Amino acid sequence: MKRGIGYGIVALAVVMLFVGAHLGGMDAVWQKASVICLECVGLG
Amino acid sequence: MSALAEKRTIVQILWSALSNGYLAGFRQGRVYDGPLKSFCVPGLNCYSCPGALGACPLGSLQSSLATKSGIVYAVGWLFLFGAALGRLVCGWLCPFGLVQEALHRIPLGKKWKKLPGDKILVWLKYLLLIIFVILLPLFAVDAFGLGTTWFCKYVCPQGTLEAGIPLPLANSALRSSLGFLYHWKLSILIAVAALSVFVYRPFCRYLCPLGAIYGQFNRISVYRYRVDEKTCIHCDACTKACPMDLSVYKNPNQSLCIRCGRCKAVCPTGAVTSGWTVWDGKKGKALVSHAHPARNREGR
Repeated sequence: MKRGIGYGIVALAVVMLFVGAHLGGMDAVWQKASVICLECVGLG
Repeated sequence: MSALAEKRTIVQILWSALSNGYLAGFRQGRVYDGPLKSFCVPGLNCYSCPGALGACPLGSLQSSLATKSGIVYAVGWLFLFGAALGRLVCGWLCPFGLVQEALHRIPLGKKWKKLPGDKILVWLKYLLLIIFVILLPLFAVDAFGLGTTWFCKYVCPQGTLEAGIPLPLANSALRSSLGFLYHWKLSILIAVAALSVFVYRPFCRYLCPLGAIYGQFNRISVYRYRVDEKTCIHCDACTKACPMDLSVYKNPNQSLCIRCGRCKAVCPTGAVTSGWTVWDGKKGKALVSHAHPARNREGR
């Protein structure tokens, strides 16, 4: 049963990635940091 | 070092080099923003590392929550890596895990598997996950409704190592902007690095929210460990060999397990195995592949 859950979540993830990519993908995720994420560097 | 440990170190080095292979970024003090940056890498690998070809899944999650945009995409990557591999990512594909292990190999002082107060400290990463990765980016917002990546900004030592050090070195504009926050994060990196010399992967064990997420997938992931009850003699060899100090034969897929494989290498009966589960629809049960190294040596 647990193995089935693993496969199910992988399948769900693939669907989420397709939907997410259609909605803007990583550009939508990182819209504040298209060049450098200053917070990551320690300058935010 | 066992053959499996050598193989794992090689995979860790190759993967870290490959996922940070944009060498021009190091020379020019800028980050890669080409098409590959649309994908997440599985491990903790800073988005702003000058060499990073992919995005950090933990940073992406925070950024999506902070901007209320792209959440489905960011969570999709975490689900994909978590459900497929669990914390195999931590043991084999995380550059910061590699750094901590390299520091731990320095022959200095007594080596510890865990710190005093371990039972409480292991919950810190869940606290960081809930507060710094989810709640604060989501709800601590400015006048425009935008939050910030709190874990990246105030805690993440991998960001300091991969972006905070190389970028200001190559970029004078960034160098002139360094202030208290930068030195705070540098202090965290130095503390984690110093602790890593004596304690095995302290950041992974106590602080990493990405490990906290992947750890929850260990029990259900497609790649998993298995102990054959018929051949296990409960000799405790796996527990003694486990760098994370886990009783493998009691539960081979605990959330702290980084799937380094040491338990498999030392098991005298070959009871510990790991591999991809293959869904057998007719019998309704899963099979685990990958022969045990001891069995291979003995030709069984």
